Amino acid sequence: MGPILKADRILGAVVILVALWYIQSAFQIQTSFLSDPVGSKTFPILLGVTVIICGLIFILRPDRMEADERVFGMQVVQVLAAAGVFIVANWFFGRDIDAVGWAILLVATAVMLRYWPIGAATLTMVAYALALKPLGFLIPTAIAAAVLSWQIMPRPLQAALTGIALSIGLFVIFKYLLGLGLQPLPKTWLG
Amino acid sequence: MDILSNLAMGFGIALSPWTLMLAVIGCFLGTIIGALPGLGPSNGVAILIPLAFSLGLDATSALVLMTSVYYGAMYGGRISSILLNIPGDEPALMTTLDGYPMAKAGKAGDALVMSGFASFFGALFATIGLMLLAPALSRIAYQFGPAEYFALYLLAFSTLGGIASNNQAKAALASCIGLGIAMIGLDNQTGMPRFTGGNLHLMDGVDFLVAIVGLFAVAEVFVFIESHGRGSSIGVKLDKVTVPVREIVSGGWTMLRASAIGFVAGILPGAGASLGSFLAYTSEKNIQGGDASGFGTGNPKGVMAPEAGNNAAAGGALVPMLTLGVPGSGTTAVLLALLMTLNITPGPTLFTDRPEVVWGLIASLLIANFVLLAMNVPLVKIFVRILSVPAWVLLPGVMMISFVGIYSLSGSYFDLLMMIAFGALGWGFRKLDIPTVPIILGILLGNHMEDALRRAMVLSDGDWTYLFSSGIATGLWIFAVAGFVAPMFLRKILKKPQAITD
Repeated sequence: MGPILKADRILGAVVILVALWYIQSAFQIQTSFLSDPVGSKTFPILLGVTVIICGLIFILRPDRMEADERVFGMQVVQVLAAAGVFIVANWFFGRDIDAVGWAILLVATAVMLRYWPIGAATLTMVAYALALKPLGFLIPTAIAAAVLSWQIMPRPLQAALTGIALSIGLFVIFKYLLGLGLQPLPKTWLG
Repeated sequence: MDILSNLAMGFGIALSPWTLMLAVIGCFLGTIIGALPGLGPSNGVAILIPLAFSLGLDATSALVLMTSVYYGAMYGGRISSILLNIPGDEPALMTTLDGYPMAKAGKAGDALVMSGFASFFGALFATIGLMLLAPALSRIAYQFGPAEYFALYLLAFSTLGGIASNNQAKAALASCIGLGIAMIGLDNQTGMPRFTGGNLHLMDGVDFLVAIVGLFAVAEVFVFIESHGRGSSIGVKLDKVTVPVREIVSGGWTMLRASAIGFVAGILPGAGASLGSFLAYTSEKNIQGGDASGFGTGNPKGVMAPEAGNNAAAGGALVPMLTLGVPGSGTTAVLLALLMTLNITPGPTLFTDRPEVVWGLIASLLIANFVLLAMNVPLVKIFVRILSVPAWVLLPGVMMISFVGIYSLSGSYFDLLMMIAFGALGWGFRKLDIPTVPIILGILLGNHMEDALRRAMVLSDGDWTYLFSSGIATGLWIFAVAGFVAPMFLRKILKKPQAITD
């Protein structure tokens, strides 16, 4: 027996909670007069039950993992406990989906802090996705590509050049070769 | 001959200069995608689908382009296996076992040419097999009712989980996650929203292209960021390329056996190319005399067998995908997504309703094969040079292409954010050793599977035993259970070989 706290056990707990929430939402599905013997709830509920069985297997028989991946850290556990309380409370008392949203956000934050390069890359991508429309293609692409390039190989100048080259090169390919309607620069700059 | 006239029609479509050009472009792109470590057939085809779609190609052209990419990527996977000891994709793992030792012994050119021929042989074998078998299977598929389809979908998930993964429970979890995601959106039969949380974006459900690009391409970017591009090391040099005719001829039987095994493995729903190359390699090793044969130390037959098997399986996997709508591998799942995007419903009716699509596809596969042979033997040096594209240029590029592709599909932030979420999920699942292909399969097949179940229950008026009522259905159920359970016992015997390290 290794440590009790293995990644698979945490995974098991998480998937069981999510499955319970899924089953609970399945019971909330509105039915209509156009109904069939199975209905729209049965299949999702079956899926939820299968996931709970899988979750129990992960808790009872976790895979052996490498040392680094075995433990996610107490941080994650604390947040998971909070998330669990959130979800169970939601299940018993309310029908408020925001509680689940917050719980997922908390778990995501904890994992991001543990694996901060991935967290930073995710945030870069989110910012890129949001900047693409208002700022046009060229500038956000150059910055986002440079950040990711730097994350893979931390040489600032090389990363910056990669970003600029990718941005211009891909723009030419997308716009002129493939004919996609991309907007190069912020609209206000072009008047 | 029915087949010959159909084939003539197919060539009539595929031999137009336009389609021919698309096939050449697809083969070229595909070989590059397959050769680049970090881009395999599934994520390569995945990031190109949104682009092909927004180009406004018609169904046949898009299909020709993407299947050429698919076949090309299967060919290209061997290049990085042999030169860098990094499989360009999972099925190419077996090629590293003898390919890399050969390259280290200064026979990189020989290994590349021989594996190129083996790929050609396997793919040709499988394309001919597809031509002969698919129409026959599509006739059987006419007898499939909802109960049979439900059992068939179950079989696909269970063999995928049983054979292609290390842990059944994790594969089952992945399948359920995919199926669960497919439930999001409006219920087909009642028209009521399910699991949308009142979000309007989710009413149409989760677009499978968003999930595919996220899980395959964006997740790959995360993996590379975590590993800092380690593994994209400099490999063995390639100096001169000659054609080792004698060794290729002497490996004829090896290629034939490996192709047959690979083709059968490819047909099994859910098993796919990895299993094909694995079985082809191990059986050939046993035929050649086990450990004494020099397999694993640079035996040329150890390069040819898995490559023939892998490419034959790639063709074989198209059989269930086209006739039944059930993909046999991760990449055919991606191709199924392509068909669904083009509004083509694979299944037995495809062969009668849209024969031009099927036979045009088969003809273009044959053409693609010859194009690929030409590209991969004399021109292999060009692709070797492309291998030196470093990860810190390639991966940001992959990410940008993914973003533009998905953005050009719908123009919504929501899809982009969802794609990033799928990417993070895919990375986490990779760390936890949860396979992501069943998720894709689940999202693709979820609604069909539920519909099959519900229609079966309507037919039987709620009697659950109806699911086992026909011979075909019962057989499929037995195979499904066996395919899921048997590998638990076989795992000790058939141990998946891991990549060798220097």
